[in-house]
Amino acid sequence: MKNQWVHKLSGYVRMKISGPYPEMFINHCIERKIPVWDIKYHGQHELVCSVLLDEIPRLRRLARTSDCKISFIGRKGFPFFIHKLWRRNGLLFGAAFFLILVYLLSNMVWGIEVEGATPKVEHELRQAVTELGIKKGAFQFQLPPPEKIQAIITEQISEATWIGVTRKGTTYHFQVVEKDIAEREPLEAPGHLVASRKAVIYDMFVEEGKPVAERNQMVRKGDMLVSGLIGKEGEEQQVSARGSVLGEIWYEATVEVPLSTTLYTATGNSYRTHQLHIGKWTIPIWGWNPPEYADAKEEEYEREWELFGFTLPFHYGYKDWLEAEEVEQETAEEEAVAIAIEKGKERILPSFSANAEVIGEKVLHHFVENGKVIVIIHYRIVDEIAKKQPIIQGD
Amino acid sequence: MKRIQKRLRRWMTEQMDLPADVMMDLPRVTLIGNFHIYIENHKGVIRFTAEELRLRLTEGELLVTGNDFVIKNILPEEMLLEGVIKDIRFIKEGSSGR
Repeated sequence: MKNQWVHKLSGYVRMKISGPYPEMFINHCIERKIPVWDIKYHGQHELVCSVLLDEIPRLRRLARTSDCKISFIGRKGFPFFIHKLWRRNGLLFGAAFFLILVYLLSNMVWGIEVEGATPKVEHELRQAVTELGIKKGAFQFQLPPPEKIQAIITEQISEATWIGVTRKGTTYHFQVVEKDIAEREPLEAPGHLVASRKAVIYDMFVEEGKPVAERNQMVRKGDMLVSGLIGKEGEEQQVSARGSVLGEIWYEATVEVPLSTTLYTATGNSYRTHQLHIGKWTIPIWGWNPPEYADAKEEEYEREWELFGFTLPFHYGYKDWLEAEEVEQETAEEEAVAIAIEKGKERILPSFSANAEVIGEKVLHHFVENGKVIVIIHYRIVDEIAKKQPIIQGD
Repeated sequence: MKRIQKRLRRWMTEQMDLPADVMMDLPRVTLIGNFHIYIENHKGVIRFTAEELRLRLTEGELLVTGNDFVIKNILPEEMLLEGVIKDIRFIKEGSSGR
């Protein structure tokens, strides 16, 4: 049997056969290989059946030779559907019009967004963009591509280093990076440079001003290093002394280092338990009787599972119980002194500037007391000692 | 002559175990429940109403009675009838059906 949809595609009609012997007409059709289906009895001497649209001329010829009359009562299938649709062409045109409208509207510019610009630059940018034709209601296909717009705009607006142009649907985004014009440093108030702490001058570099101190000279806190008064005596000019003065500072530190330390070491015995983590809960799945160690350390391992970028709500993990042992570690005196030097450095450096450098250290004295080594160390540190001091008027 | 041919066919069917409908041009009627009847090897429709279908066979006629008959499809050798089938009857040649 043929599929019904084939008939629907080519179109078919309901045909009424009336005559004294309509069955004969059906028989004739079958003999001539005209497909006939859905035959129904429609009262005496009347049958209704379905026939293909293409076969109608043959059926008419057949009807003429037989004593039956045929009439068509229904039209079905795709060709008739198209015909029907065409008669309601307003609907068709409406749908087409709608599609065109949606297409046109979605290809218009509906918004311009400027980001990261000062009001002045934004105004300029908006003007430049309007000149290019980018304004509300403009068609996108009449505009140059964003890359080209970017090139033109970046060239036009001198205040911006870079303007990024992107189109998101119906909106143009302009991302502006403005030029940072370096501001001039304000003129500093005239002043001297004085020592911030007691030191021996290690090195000095004067940019402006008259150096008063010399290298290897010892200075106390508050001593003048670079004077802000330059020129002949009596008619000095006031300037802001600038420069860097490095001073060598001596520093004595007392450091205590214990001779013995308690450490925990793993004995090598371990026991592993396995868990399944679901959300906040942990469900043990293996390892029920962990041995009881006197000292133990736990090491946990967990890893989240991901599937297509999503983190699964459950994952596997295991825990290792490592048996630990307490071990006393004896440190030799010489070693302890070396440790003390490093410890001392770490302790004193925070009280200096970040650029401070230890140029020498010397152990002055060390002795053992109560299982500790007490070390007195002398450090030589080089650090910036110059500090600004304004010239007080009328001095 | 025809009679000899017929006898030969019957003999072959019996002796060689061949399907009877193929050898002897007999109708093959398949019934699905009481609502579908599939008839092969018919020789044309004699009468068709909503309660009755009468088919010509090589020998005699086939009468199907019931309600709401619709011929779903009809081809030179086969047809599918739909409806509530009540009775299927073979009628010998010569005797009146009604």
